[in-house]
Amino acid sequence: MSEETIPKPEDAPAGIYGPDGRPQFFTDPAMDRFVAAFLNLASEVWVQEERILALEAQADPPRANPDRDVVLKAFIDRVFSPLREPRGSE
Amino acid sequence: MPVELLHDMKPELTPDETARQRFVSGLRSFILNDLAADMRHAYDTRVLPAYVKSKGAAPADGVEVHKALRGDPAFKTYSVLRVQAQRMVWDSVSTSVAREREARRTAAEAVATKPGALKLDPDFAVPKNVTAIDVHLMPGSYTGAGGDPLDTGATYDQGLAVFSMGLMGKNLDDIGLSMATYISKRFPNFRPERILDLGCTIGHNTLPWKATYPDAEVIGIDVAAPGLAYASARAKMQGKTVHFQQMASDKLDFPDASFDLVFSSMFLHEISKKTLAATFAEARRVLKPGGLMLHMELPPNTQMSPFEGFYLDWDCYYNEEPYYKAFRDEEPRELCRRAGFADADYIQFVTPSIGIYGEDAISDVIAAEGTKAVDSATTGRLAEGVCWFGFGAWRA
Repeated sequence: MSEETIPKPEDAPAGIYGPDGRPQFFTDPAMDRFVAAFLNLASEVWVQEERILALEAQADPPRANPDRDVVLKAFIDRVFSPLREPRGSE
Repeated sequence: MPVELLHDMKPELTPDETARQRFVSGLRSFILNDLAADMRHAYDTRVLPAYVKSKGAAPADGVEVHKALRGDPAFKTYSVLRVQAQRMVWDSVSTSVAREREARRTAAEAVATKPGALKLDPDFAVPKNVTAIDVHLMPGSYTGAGGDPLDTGATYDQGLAVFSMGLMGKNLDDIGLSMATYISKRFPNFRPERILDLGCTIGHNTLPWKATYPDAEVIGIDVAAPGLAYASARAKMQGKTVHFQQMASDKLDFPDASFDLVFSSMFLHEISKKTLAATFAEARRVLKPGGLMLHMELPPNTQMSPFEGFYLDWDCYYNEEPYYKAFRDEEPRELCRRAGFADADYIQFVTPSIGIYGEDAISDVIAAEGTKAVDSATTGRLAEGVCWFGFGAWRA
């Protein structure tokens, strides 16, 4: 946020920040940026999902307006399941 | 996963903003629960055995755990998602903060003459640990990214609500309320008349002291003016007479022996070792005999395993909190000792969240004092449930 030198932790392992001073986790920094874009996209898809839920509740009032937090958890579990660590394979 | 603030400066969110904030809270919950468990599993089953085979012993501390885990896919997945989710916290509140700028300014002006002083110093030199980095990856950090100063406080307030996933209460005051309740119950004869909150930001954990001790004069200080301006308006809207003043914790502009309680919450890990030592010395100087210095903080590395230490110190390296680990490497009792407090006057405790477990749970902990030790199982992000670690010392 300023031209001042950004203090970094004194015992930070070498190579954990990219040339811009930001954390870098993958060998190819494009992968870090791609993940960020993917999360933004997932967020926007969820916004559309909430719009649909609202419209459905309007169109069909008897239909219970589902608990958004419960629906969101299922959404996140479904979308991000490939990121989960496989269990029982070690 | 409630993200809606319930105090009088809460924003009126559009449905899309609510959805976006809900998503970020849900994403953080997924990362801090599911992906964190995956990373632990990867460490136990893959990284640790390989390390032991190579080095002949397990990692001795969090730094070695960090180095061993860096190349593992579970670490990379957890970390890259956490960093982006943190950025999304602030992004998710930016539109409502901007849209409500005028309404917020008008509301603040309407309460400006209510009791409670706000003293800002235009010539104050804000220290580098606040100006040089985006603390918590918050754009502009505590001093703001320009524009209306109240925007900065609103961003922090609303962002913290998303970040905390409801665990800090709907007024973001659970830490202050839990600590104040614990102190009032454990030390019923301690009736502070003047209370100072160091590094108070928007005063969310300052107000509970006024609620607990309504006759006390309560003053919150911080180096960043925008947060204080917001804090003052926020307090007045809640009918709390609390004073806010721009000041550094290591150079207190108060006379000797002028406070009964000097408090801070989640503040010490944001200052350098030098400032930390000076802050403790200043706290002792301004305390009256019989007064209490009390800090709510993250538990120290000495009281947890190398993996758990690494896990908490992650924020030091990746969340723009460069002093986080250095603080957690300190022994709280030693910090107090170095400032001149006697060992016999040292206290530390873990209190349950009052918002989640209720007042009786705090009473129960006090009644069973000593049974709930300070360690990684009782505090911090790895704990079962939500508990807060406090330490400090009485001024002889």
